[in-house]
Amino acid sequence: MGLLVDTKATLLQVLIEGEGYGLQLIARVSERTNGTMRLLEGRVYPALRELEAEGLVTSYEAGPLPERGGRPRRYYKLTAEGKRAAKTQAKAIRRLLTPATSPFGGSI
Amino acid sequence: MSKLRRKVLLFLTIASFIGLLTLILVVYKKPDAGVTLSDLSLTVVQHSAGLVGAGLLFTAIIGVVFIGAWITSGSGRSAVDLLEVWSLFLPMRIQREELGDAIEDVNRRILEGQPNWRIKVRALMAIFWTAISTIHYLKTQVNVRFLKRVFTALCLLVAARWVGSSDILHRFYSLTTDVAPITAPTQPAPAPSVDPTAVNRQQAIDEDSLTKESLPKITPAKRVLPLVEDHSSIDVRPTDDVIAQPEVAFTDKVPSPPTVSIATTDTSPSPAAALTGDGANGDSGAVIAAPIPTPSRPSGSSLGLMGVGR
Repeated sequence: MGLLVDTKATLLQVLIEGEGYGLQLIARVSERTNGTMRLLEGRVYPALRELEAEGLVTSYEAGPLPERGGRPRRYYKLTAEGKRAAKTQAKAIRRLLTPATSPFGGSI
Repeated sequence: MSKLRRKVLLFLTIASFIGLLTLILVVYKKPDAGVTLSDLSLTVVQHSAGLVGAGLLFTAIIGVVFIGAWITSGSGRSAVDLLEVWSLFLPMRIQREELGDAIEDVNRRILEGQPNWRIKVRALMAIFWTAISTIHYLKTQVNVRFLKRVFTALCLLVAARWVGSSDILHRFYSLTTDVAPITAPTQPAPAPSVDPTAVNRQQAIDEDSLTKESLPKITPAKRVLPLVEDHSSIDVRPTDDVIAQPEVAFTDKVPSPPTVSIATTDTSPSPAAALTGDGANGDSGAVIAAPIPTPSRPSGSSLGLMGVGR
């Protein structure tokens, strides 16, 4: 069973590293989780479009490439608001994953 | 591709084409097309759901056979060709971004020397996901409310086509225009009137049993049954071997003539008017009490034709 993490949250976290296009972002998630998480391409692109509509990411097209049949790649990168949202989200996830400390000093 | 495989594919193509054509004919001309099919097909075409199910099953089987044959044969380059053809049906953004990524991935796999079947499965997955993504993309681009209305209208039109109910059309009208459905103006029920032609027919059938006093005052109408006035002009010669008998046995008792009473706007309440509405309250109170008698014997004028030889 794969990890149950929101696709949009995952994409925001991998976009902190730098801009990337859809296929590259899927591969980046798979590398960072050692293949535990695999994003479905049917969910990635709608999620990227939603993030763009929310103003958290912005996109641009590069030049056409022959290995894509003359089609350009579309790169996504975080906006300033997207960076703030990604950092806030990362802190919340870290707090969630950190084991709670017991009143006697040790972890529960 | 071997010769045998080509022949099988050609046969399947022709079979699927004929099958789909037959199904379309059955849908639009159900009785005519059903006659020429086998018994099994006849049973299926008698039910619309069975027809749709059979069509889907047939298409799915043919599709699986075709896809299986395509995956296990040919080179990986055909996957790229398929994706290029598929790109014609996609919006610009989807085909440049998502399908471009898929074609790039397929080309990378070809260069890596991955097996053909894996490359083709990857291409089929790309087709599936781009189809889903196109629906999602169009939903964001087109007014969803408009799409819902168009879909509802289409469903109701199909339902009205099968059910043939005017209520469904009224509902469709109210859904698409946001106004109350147009209904026919209610008119007061017309007062019962005497149909002169009906009375004339009754008069012609039972002319003898009716009296002039009992008939309603109507305009004279033409007779429906031919009547022979001149008996001498009829040549009736009984033969030896055939003894003509009167076709209707007469009874001694002549049935009493039925009464036709029409009470229109009668101010005095009668028992009949009390049943249907009294005339004093303004109702028309028209009552036709005219039992239709079964003709027990032919009319006298026609006896010249039937009572022969005696």
